[in-house]
Amino acid sequence: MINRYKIAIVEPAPLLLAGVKALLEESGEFEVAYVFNTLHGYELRASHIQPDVIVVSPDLFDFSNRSSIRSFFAVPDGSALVGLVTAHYDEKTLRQFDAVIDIFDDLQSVMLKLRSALKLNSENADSGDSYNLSDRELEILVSVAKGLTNKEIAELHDISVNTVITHRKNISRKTGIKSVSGLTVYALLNNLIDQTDVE
Amino acid sequence: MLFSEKMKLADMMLASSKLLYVFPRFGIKLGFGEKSVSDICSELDISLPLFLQVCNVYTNPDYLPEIEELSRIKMHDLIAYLRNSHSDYLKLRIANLRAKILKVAAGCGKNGTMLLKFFDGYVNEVVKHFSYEEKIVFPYVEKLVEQGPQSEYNIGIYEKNHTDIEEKLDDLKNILIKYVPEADFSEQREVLRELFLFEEDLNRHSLIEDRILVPLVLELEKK
Repeated sequence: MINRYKIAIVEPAPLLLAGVKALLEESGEFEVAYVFNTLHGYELRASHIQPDVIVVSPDLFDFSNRSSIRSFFAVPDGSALVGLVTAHYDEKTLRQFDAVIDIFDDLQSVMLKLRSALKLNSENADSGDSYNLSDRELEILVSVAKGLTNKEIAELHDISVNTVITHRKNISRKTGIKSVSGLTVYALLNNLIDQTDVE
Repeated sequence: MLFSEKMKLADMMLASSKLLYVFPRFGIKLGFGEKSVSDICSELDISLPLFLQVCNVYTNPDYLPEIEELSRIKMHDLIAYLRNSHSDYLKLRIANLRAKILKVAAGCGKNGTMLLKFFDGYVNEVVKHFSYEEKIVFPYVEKLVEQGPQSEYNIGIYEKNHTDIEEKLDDLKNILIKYVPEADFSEQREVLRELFLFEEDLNRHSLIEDRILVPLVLELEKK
């Protein structure tokens, strides 16, 4: 096995921590390199470690901070932030994570989610700054502007529908444009598509 | 500070420029001199409690009127005001905006038609939103006043469906700010200024519906 992805887990519940660690290592693709029981424990070491993925429970954050986790939790540049959820959270909280794993997920879907988080993250890093659209996002945007559905886009680019949705969220966050017709205007103004593509 | 019937119209408008769009919906034209709220209301046969509540909600977005004060408003007057506002938006404000968008679109070359089409798409949503209120909600409320509780509808359905028409307006602002290069002698800033004002006014209009219409209808439904 070449380079295994390094994972850091911040989780106070010992059984959950042991379970996630065992599950991830079973895959052979990931190595749980760092485990922390508290946010404080993580913060003390944060500047010295360089995990590819940080798994953390939204529970660790006060309710009032939960909608801006990234401002209360230092994520090293290039690390993907993954939520480990045991209960229901509102969408606003979950949106901040590159991926969300649920305690009821099986190994396979955990793997898929982690891989897509890593991929998303490396694409964001490639684009230099997080406000410009990555090449992948531009491709997805063109498909959206042409009026394809999420399912069609997923098939066309050989990715999951969830990944399409994540890309679309990022596109809307970066451009400030949410509606499909608005994205079409954006694509036309930026010469990504031609008038004939949408007629 | 809340407005009262003894206040002068001129002082109210000087205190809150948002009332610039409210007064004409009650038929009040500029040049009203030293007239007070009660003067103009009796002169033009305007419902005084409605006029004061509308001006107060427009000026203080955090203001929550008491149901006792609201119950002095006649439903008929409120609905007439809301219909008036709708026609003001469609016939004046939006028509005005469209004329300005048209000029910006003219400077955008072949993409101009798309910009205009996008704006028309937004207008369509606004029209749909208004016409749902005028064809479903207002007639229901009028029937409720005349005949008592109705089984086929309740204001809870309206509250749930109070659709989000802000998304496309936000998109339009973003497009104009970030992605349309400003041409010489462009009307782009004018359009944006109008859009900001329009949005603010539309938000206050929603507040009138949420803080005055809905509580009054809920009271009627209880009976």
